[in-house]
Amino acid sequence: MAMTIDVEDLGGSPAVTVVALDGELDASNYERVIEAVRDAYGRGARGLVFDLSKLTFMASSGLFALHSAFRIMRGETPPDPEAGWGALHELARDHDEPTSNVRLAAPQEAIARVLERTGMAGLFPVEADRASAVAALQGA
Amino acid sequence: MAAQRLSIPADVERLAEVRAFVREVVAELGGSKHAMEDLVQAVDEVTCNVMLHGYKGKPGDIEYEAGLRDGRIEITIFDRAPVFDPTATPEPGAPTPGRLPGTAGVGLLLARTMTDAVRHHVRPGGGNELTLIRSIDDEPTREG
Repeated sequence: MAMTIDVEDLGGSPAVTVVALDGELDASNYERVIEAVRDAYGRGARGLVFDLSKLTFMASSGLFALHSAFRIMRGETPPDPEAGWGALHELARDHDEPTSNVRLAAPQEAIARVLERTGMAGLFPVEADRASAVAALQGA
Repeated sequence: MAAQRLSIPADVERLAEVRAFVREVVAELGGSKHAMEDLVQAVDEVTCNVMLHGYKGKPGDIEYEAGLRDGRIEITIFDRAPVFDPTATPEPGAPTPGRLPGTAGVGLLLARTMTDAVRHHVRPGGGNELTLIRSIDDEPTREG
């Protein structure tokens, strides 16, 4: 099954973009997610919500994409996929940083389990749905 | 029962087909919802490692054989890539925030935590046979 990426710029303060993923996120398509986040940041987004409600599978390459999004939204260079997964070492450092500008909305149970098992759930606040994720970013 | 098989070229575009195969066999073998999700994840991660680190993005074949043995599902992944025994690397242990495995270890960690056991054999004629063993129940029964 392919994955579709639906991007919506919501504006507001800070400007929030919602990236909705539908299908299966794996090694064949994770780079498209990073690309979408880079584009959103380029358009001025300073808060990002991943709507995961329709995502049915996430491989470790998807975790890499989420980590890349975290870095991009902080204005940093994302890890280079060609540099290997060693970039994930940096997750440990990133855990020490205050983080609030990337939120995950409504992950399905299978994906929530993957996030828990890899410690990623601690890096990205998980919200019950898209609206509460946006509200959390904009302090509404 | 007869083992079920799949053969694909090493191409990340074929990962979805591999996951569909795993879902189908786990359903037929009576696996629980979590057993299915865990095996789909574990097989995807192992396959991805074979494609990117074993064959290093070059062409190659990957074969799968799935069946039930002693009440547990066994899925074996066969390749002709250089010999690599993932079970020989130290057990990474459970990750916690602030302590995460590095490099390709993330996928392997997932494959290990989602199965009862992982067995590696050098394949006659070169390559690897990696068998993932998972109880059909909701939670894996870790053998260590």
